[in-house]
Amino acid sequence: MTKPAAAGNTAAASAIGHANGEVVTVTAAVKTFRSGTTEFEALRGVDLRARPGEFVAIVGRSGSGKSTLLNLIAGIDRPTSGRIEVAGTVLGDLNENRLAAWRGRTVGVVFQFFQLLPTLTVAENVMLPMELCRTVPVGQRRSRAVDLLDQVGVAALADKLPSTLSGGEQQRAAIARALANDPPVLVADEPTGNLDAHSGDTVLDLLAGLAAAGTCVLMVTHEHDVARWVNRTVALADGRITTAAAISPAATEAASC
Amino acid sequence: MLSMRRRKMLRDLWLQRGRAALVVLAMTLGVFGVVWISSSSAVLSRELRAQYLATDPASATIIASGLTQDAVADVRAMPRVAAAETASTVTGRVRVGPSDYVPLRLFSRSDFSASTIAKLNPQEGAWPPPPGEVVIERAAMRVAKTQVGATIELDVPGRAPRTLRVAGTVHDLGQAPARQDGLVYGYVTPETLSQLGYAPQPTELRIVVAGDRLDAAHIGTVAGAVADRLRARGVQPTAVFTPTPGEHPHQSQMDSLLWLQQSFGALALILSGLLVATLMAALLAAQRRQIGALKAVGARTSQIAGSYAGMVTVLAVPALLIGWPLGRLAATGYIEAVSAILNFDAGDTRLSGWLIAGQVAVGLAVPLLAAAWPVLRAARATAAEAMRDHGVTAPTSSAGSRGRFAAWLSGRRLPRLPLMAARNAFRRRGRVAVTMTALALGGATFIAALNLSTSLSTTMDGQADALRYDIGINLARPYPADQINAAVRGVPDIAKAETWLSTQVTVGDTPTATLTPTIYGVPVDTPMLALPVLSGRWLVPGETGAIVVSHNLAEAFPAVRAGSDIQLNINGQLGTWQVVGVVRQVAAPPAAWTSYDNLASTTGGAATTNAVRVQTTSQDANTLTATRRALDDALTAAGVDIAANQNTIETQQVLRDHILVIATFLGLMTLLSVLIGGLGLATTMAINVIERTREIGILRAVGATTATLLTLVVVEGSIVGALSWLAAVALAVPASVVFGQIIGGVLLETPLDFAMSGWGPFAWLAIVIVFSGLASLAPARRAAALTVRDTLTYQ
Repeated sequence: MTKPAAAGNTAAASAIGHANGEVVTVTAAVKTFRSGTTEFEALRGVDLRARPGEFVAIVGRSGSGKSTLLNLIAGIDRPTSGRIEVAGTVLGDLNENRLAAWRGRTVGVVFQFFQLLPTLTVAENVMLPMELCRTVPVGQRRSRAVDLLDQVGVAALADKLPSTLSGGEQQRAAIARALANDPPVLVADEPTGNLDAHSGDTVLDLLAGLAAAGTCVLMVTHEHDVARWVNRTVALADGRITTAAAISPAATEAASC
Repeated sequence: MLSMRRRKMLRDLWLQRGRAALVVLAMTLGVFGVVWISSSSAVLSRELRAQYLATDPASATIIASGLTQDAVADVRAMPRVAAAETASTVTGRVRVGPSDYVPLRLFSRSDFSASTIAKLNPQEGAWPPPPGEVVIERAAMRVAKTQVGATIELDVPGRAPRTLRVAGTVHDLGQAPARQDGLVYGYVTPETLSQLGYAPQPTELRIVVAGDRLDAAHIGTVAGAVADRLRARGVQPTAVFTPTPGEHPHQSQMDSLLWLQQSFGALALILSGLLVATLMAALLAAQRRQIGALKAVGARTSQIAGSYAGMVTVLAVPALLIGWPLGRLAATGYIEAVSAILNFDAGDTRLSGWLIAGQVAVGLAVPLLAAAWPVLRAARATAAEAMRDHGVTAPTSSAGSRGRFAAWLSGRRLPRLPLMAARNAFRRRGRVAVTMTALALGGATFIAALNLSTSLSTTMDGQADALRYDIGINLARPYPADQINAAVRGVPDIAKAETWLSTQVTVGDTPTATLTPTIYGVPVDTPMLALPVLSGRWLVPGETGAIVVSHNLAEAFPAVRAGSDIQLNINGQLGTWQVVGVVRQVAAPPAAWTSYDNLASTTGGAATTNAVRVQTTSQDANTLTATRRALDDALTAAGVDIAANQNTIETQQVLRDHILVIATFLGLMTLLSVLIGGLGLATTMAINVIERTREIGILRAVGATTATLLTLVVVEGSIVGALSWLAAVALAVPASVVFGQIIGGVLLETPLDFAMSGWGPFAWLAIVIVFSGLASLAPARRAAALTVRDTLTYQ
């Protein structure tokens, strides 16, 4: 898969990052949830680094903290303590509004349940992040959206409403939306969890293709047989990273846990 | 090309068109209320004042005997006098049935066609009044039961009855509406007045001052100077009246009514705003996860808030387009009704550009302001918070008194379903508070309207207790008391009769007066009066110079109170009286009471009477009417001229008719409040169901039947309704007191005695329970229709 050309983000994405080449750096991240008088520590001091072009699978049992970790990296949630740096930006320095704008430009997010806006067509869903972040000129948004949909194989469905698409088609459209602003990082929370095996494989192919094109892809998954797609697997249990297995030589330097 | 956000907003609206229609309805109700009230208030207030001023009302009226043309010409020549005219006002009665009469006030001017003060507006038939004929004030035609071209029979004091042809009608804006006061106003030439047996010489000099016609001090000075000039010319002024400049006689009543209206307009706006806020919260509740998704792909708070503010504006525009013309239409009808009651033509009902701009601004801004909190709250939610919403809302805390109470309840052997409904009702306390506020305000209006009716009856009953006579007759002039007693004695069904003296006075030694209270000379131990004493005491036998004054007289002259002295000008003689008490009277102009002997010695009318008060053996309407007619016949047969003769039932009926307008207005406002409150509750219940879709699935999964789910939601709604009832009852008390003060002041010249309606709170309880049940039924049915699969996969 060829990485789609965007409004100047590709060059920026390759240039930004840690001096060591990491585009994602999580340091001593702790996340505690409070419910009434009860506290639940979802993450207990997690460190993680990832480079551009890496496809990292984060695995673990339900409640292990993997989705929480992904949300912290995407700036969807904030750590109770610790430091998150993504694409050269320390997220703790940003307020909610700046975080939203940053996220729109820097991180593509793919959800298990797709989260396509039901009243916008598939193409309009893809155009939405371009409009929100004003990254692509108005006149080019539609053609870029159709290009992205073409690359994920659903261009023919561009003018359909999401509810008329199958689960696999919706997830591919969601990936196209995540790529709208050509982000250097893409996070996917159980992107295959709601799909049949064939659709799931297609989605994983797409994500692997994106990683190969230079995007850092972080994916939370329950699936255990993702080894043929990912470079590295990070396992979480009780809020801590237990193992980090480098699968391909490209990933060995990035694995720090 | 529409942006994605605008497209999404418009399509979301279309997708939720039922709820969007409710938002438009809520906004429409608010706009309707505001436009109705503000338009009618602006037009009525402006037109009454403008039209009254357009008649060039007299700045002052000087009552004087021996007015000559030379003296009047001399006054006209005064530089501070812009115009001066003579006039006469005499009283009589018009026969409207075999033994039924209504009081008549006949006005005469030296030259109607050249008259420039208090100008009259001809309506139908001849104008000016032809010789030997009468023109009747247009609103008095129905009171006189006559028509143009017909004849009316006048009962003129001291003369045999005379008939006059009604030549036409005229509109006299300077008079109180004839129907309200039960009076007939007629206009005749001085020659006709003479033919009827009245003295042809004018008795009034009306002036319009030069310079500032609205400056009361200036008018007082000029009127005093005119009185001095007349005295210098040998004319004897007996009273100088200076009405409040530029104010129609009913302007203050109108202002009070408008204040009440405006309060209700504001209430309708607040209720509408609360409803918009609740409905917008409902729309946003359904979009919470979408907001999370938007944030996840980069939407900022301002972008999301802007989209929903745009949604509110899109809804406010049709609300304005529907509500504005409807409100304008209602205002036009209302203006017509009120102007008919007050006997003026609201000719120009146009609204100023500023008012329309203000109405449009309110129509757009209030929904935006109302929706601001739910929109900002939703837009400010972080992506994580919004995405984490699973459709199972947990109480915010299990600690504290609520947690302990819940724990205590869980240990009891109580039915779980109502307990669960009760807990559900308070899971979103802010939202429930808004709904309860809307319902409570509606309920308070409803109960207060019924309380008002009860208070009115209580006050009227109080009046019946205070005025213990059944028939009151005022004579055209004093007659020997023996002659009157002899005539009355022969009338059947009379238990007791008393002969009083009465005369009009002015207060103080100032040359001008704004009102003319009546002083009554009564037997000190009269059984006809039991007026409630507010301060001081009632009269006692043997005291000289003691008077009791009415509360409205004391209010008009703040220095007058129990224990103070008061100077009264009685028939041109100034004397000092001691106020021994202040009493309350209902629906009557300012008055004072002294002993018969005191007043008789002051006026020189010993052993005479001009007011008769009668108690009858039975108080049923037929007896009262028959006795009133029999008294009229007996006194007329005895050669007595009667000025007015009314029984108390008839008097009270007139008052109750006036109150009908207010009751109708309150009823409409109540309906509006109930509608808005009910919509609010239905919406709250709908949001509660939306938010708990997954929870409902869980209940379904563990065996909840359709009936269980229906019961759960309906009981929850009913609990909210019932609790709002308590707040409504509590709010209704101060609301009733305030309404009673305003409406009592307008209609009865005294605040109403507060009384709770016995069945009002219970009627509202029944309404609110039924309404709450019905309002909850739709969301309950929707909840019950969801399958386990639907609900557990709810996103």
